[in-house]
Amino acid sequence: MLPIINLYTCNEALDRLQDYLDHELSDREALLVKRHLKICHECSKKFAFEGQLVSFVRGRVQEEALPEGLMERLSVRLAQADD
Amino acid sequence: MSHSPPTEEHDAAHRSVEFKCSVREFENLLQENLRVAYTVALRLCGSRDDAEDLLQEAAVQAFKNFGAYTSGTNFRAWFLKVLTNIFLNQRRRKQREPATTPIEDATDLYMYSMAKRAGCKPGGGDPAATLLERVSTAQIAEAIDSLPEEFSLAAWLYFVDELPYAEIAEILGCPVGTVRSRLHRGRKLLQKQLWELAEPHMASGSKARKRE
Repeated sequence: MLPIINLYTCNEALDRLQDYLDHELSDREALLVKRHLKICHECSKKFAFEGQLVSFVRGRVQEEALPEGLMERLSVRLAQADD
Repeated sequence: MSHSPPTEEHDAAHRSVEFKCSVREFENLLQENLRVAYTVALRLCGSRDDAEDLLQEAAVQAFKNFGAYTSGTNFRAWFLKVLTNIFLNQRRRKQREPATTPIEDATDLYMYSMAKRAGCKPGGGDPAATLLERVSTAQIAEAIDSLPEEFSLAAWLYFVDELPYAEIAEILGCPVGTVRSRLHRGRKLLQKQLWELAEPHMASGSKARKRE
């Protein structure tokens, strides 16, 4: 029996870039993208860049320090709403 | 186990106990998700004072409508939906138009292509961080804010909370496919803006290196 050839072209892989980075692909599609990235240096660089860009922006906009006493103030408001 | 016939007094006491338990449960749930909720509020509002006001309003409304929350389901998504709806309603009441950027589609891989064209080698290390390191967080936040509203809301939920598309769709009340296309398009538009912010620093950086 001949092996089933399952390889994405560059365009097929790049069409799935965002979904791949966001873990929104099916297992099969993710595997095919991974296979393509193993053999395609150029796409591998593009995927890495896009992933790093998202991580960089997330690193900047996440984890905002909470104002001191925020939960206490919220509790007071909730207690008032409970009255 | 036998039940005595409920009296009015008993009913009132029982409701009170149930309600108190719900308050405690609500506060616990809120506490677990406070950082993400506050960060989303801050990113939507742009100022700490407005973010806290929004969060307080969302907490009160969510608490009052706690009966609508199904125990054991995703509280964070439910609460963020309440918060996002209040934000949108307030904005509409104030009739303040959201900041918009003319939608001129950027190409896929915009920053990668532009950086490459400008002579950067976006291959090794962490080139995205190198390009953006001199761009401030406030500038990045402004760039996301300036996207058309449907893109910026999805983008904030995506960047701040790393929510899966299905949860973003639940919060925004739209199909998953819509979230996918908004994020895809929003990301391209954002890359265009980020490149404009990064490029001047890149030029000054390379001049400085040449002088050394």
